[in-house]
Amino acid sequence: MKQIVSFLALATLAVLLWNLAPIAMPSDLGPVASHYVSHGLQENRGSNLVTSVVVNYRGFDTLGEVTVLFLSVSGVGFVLRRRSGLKVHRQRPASEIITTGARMLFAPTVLFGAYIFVHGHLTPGGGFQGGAVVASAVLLLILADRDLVLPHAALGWLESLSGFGFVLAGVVGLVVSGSFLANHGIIPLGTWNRLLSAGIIPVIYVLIGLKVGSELAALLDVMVHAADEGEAHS
Amino acid sequence: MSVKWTSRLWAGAGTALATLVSAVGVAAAAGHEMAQAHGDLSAIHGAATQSPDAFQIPAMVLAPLLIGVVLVPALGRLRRSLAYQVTVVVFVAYLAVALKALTTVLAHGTLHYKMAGWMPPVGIEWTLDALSAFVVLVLAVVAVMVAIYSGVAVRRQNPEREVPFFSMMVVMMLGLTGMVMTGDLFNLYVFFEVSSLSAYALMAVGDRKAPVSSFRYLLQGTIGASSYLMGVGYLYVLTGSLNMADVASLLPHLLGNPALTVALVLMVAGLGLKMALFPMHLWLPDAYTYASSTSTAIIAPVMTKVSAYVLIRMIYFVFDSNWVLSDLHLGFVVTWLAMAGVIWGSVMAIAQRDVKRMLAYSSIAQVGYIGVGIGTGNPWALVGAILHIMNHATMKSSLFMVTGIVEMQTGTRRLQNWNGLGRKMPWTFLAFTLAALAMVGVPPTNGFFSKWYLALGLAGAKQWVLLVLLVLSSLLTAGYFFRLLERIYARTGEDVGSGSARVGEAGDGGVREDGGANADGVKLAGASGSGIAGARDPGLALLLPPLLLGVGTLVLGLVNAWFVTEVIAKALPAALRIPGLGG
Repeated sequence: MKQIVSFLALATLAVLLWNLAPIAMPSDLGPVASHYVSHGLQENRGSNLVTSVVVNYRGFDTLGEVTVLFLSVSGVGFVLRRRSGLKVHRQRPASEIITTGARMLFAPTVLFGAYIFVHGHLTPGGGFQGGAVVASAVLLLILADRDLVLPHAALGWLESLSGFGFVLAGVVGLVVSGSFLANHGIIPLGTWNRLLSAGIIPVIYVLIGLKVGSELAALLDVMVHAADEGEAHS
Repeated sequence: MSVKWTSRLWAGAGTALATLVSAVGVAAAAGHEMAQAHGDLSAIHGAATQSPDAFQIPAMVLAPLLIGVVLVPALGRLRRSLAYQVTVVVFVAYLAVALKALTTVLAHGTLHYKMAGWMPPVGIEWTLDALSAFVVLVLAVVAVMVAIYSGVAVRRQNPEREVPFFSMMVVMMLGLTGMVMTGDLFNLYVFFEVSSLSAYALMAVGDRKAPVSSFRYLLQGTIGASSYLMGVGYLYVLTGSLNMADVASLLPHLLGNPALTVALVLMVAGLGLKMALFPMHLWLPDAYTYASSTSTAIIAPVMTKVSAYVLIRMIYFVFDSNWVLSDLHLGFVVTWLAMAGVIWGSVMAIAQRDVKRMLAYSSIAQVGYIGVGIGTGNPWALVGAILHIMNHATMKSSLFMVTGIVEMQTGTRRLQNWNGLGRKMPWTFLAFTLAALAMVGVPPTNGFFSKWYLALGLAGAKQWVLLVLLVLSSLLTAGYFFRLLERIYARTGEDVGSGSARVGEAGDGGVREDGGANADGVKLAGASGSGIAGARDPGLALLLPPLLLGVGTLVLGLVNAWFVTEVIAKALPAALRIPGLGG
């Protein structure tokens, strides 16, 4: 019965997609996209147009996505803290090569992550990518030393204060120029392609970088400890 | 010791700052709004095209919830009980703004809010029209009632999870409000995810089986959300825009395009799954049954309703409803699937022995009524569907809250243990009885009127078979509720022996509740231990919310004409306006 139902569902999807085969992606930009391309630089002074769209034109979506990430991370913490289902066999202590490598790589990796989110309005990447790189530096440390204890309270506060900062930036936009998350009249937009340009966009992206980094680091910690507990129980 | 002290200091500083800033923000928003209102007053007679965009109301609806999302976990970290108090305050503020929003919309017409100040379709737009303001008000009323109720309920059932529970509750209301108020297709998806993820977390709190049923809900809900997102993707490829009004104006040129049909089908399927439309309802019974009674009381009345609201938005406001319902025959499909859900849900509800599970199946049936109203395409049927969003939210949250109370006071939700409880817990069961009568559709209650408009619509569309099935389904509903009421009032507990002595034989079928008081004598979580014999009414904090909503079903029934003429008639899409009603 289950197979029949899944087969029918897949068959329906196949028919739907088959109908779409003759339709090509339009080669020219739609009205909204061409507005971003022709006016984006002038309106936000950010040389990375993708960032202008993500943080400003559709910044409200990004606020929602940040909430989604927060929810998934706290959801995982919620579930894993109670039931330790993961069972990982404790390896021997990490080898000399890994511990030395991790120690050497930690600082450059954090720096690289910070570079990505600080330059989010100038070069490809931004808060989410930079935050993930920072968290991967923390993962290196955890790999080198499984008994590492992260400063939970500090991470928690970093995470909630940067999230609060994002909302605050939105409220400042509301107060100064009359609409939530607006980017005009708060910080001068400056000249494009400079580090200090694009108004409030880099501020928000740095906050997102801090938030994503601390969230993912806390998530790694929860998962590692859940695995350890599972091992202890077994 | 010192670590704890510094973290407290941090928490204190952070929250003080948060409160200050949010107060400034709200005051500023209010100031803006008042300044604009003054400006409008002078211009209002001059030009009919006054710009209501300037109103900050949509941002103000959002404000209490955004503040709550930050404040509830922060203050909860300081002192656990603060999480509950802040949540109630946040929801009361939300209700106040929601009321203001509805009156403003009724007086001034639709409000548009440009996020980040960009004109749509370049930026994201929030739209507050009569329909969204109405649904936001329903959300706010349910939120306040369930929040008051959850204080005691959560402390008794899940004391260690108080803070995350209330945080999730506020985030879920934020997500649902976003879904209702946004005028942007992708922004809707984002809030779809926010509300769904917090609902999965809330559903995972409860019986031992709750995490598993919540995980199944997560898998199926993700399929639904992805399906909606794919539909949005196709629409974006076709139109190059994500703004609902903009897309709606571009679609007439694309009607022959098969990609448009695929986009529509994907969106309807995704929303249908989240709304538990008939063959896609499988996640619902387990999720509602095993979740804690507070989770169910907050999710059941609003979650499926908001998905139904989005379906109305898509079919009637974004797409051309005539094309969708008649030319594509989607009206036929939706109506009959929904009616199948009504019958199936009612029949399955009769077969249940666990009251909570019975209510879960009846939810499938009730959402089916809304689906019938959406699919028929007749204005009166749509009035019935929209009215039923409000009506079902009031009755169902009351019923689930009463079930939670009985579970807490007696440790059981098995049907035959409810014998004679009506005399032991008179006030609790007054609420239950009123809500149950509304579910059946007994005349002065609100449930009667939504079915009445639905029947009018079906008669207007000459759908006689569906009309007969509608009446039949009311009989089925009467079947399972009157059977329960008869147990509650007419029988005594002694009829079946002393409660727990007989439950062993009830452990058959798939209705055995997990961790229940039954087969093994273990009490349900949070049971006060007094058992069935010593059952009595709970304190006011638990009793008042379901009682108010129960009485509300009666009051809303009596004033339903006002809602229909003043609110819902204005909320109907332009193509379906009823002449002589509303604006």
